[in-house]
Amino acid sequence: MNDCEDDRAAVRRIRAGDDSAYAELLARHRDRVFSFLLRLLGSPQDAEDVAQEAFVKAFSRLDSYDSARPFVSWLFAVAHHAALDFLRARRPAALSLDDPDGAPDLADSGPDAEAAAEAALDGRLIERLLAALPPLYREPLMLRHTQEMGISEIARVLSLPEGTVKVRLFRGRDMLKRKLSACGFGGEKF
Amino acid sequence: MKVNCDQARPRLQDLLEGILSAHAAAALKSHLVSCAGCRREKALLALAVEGMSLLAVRRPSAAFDARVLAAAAAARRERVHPRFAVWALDVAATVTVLWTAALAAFARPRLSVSGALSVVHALRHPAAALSVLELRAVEAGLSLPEALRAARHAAAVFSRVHFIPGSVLGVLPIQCMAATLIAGLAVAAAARPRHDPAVSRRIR
Ligand SMILES: [Zn+2]
Repeated sequence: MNDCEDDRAAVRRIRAGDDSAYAELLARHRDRVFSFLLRLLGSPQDAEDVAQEAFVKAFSRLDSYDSARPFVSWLFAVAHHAALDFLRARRPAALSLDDPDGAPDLADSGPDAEAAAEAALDGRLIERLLAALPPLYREPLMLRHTQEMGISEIARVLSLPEGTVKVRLFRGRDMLKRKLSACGFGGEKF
Repeated sequence: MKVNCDQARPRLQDLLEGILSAHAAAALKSHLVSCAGCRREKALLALAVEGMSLLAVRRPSAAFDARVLAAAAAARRERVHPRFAVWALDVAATVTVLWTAALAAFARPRLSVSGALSVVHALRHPAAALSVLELRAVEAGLSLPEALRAARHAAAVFSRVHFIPGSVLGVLPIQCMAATLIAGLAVAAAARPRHDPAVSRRIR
């Protein structure tokens, strides 16, 4: 991956004292980190605050980054932990991202009148369905299917065993499937 | 190999990703030919995965970059002060080690063997070490947690003091360690908030 090499070069420049490389790393990863946090936290303001926290943390701890690994997965690990800290501090009642696998909310798969009105699969519909999943499942799904990370990479980002990641991905996709089905997808044409 | 629905469902994603062995893929496909339910599940799964690739990239507000870069630069400036603290601890550790070496060589009474052994004992037994540290901490005007943090820091610095000849360390390892801990406490006490908040924040 080309981005990967560019990231390593930028980190080398920072280590050599070139502060302009911070802006380059920020520009390259800002949108994906923000999108990830926005879908995780739900509020643009919270997502911006946590994204800022994550970048500042990452930039001030670059000496702990092992350049043998992709920079982006290290950055996402920092963002994941920043989101976790945020949720613990501000919303102790909310479902934590590292809850042990509780009973997934499979009951919530009845027909969704509003969603069913949508005829075609588009990003906005998926956005709504994804937002209705517990964060526990939403987070690995995003890393897998929007960031294109592999299982072992996701396991490192979330500090979870690979088996747990696989289970959460399976359950998350299953919930999304049921919601799509409730919206009228998967009808007689299949 | 015959595959039933319960075996088929968990493998549909692997089939879509093309990571099943040829044998497993063939068995699954032959099940799909005869099972409308699993065909529907596979189609829904493909749709869910395809759907997630349709998610739009979202952007933070225009001022985001400037804010992050300013906050990161401020964090870097703060890190300049701790470098002074580390430098000060380096110097303090070195001076104290040399002072202890001189003391051990010339002063009366010399550090007795039993005195050195009690330090070894303290280092080996955390509870005893704690009481030694606590005493030193009170002298230095620190609380015990502060003392422990300072001692840890001093120990880290100690391992970085590479410009002391190995022979000196070889002769006086215990005294050096003890002296460094005490020096760390003294400097940590000197760097309390009234002097420089940034330095003390680092030491805590
Ligand atoms: Zn079947």
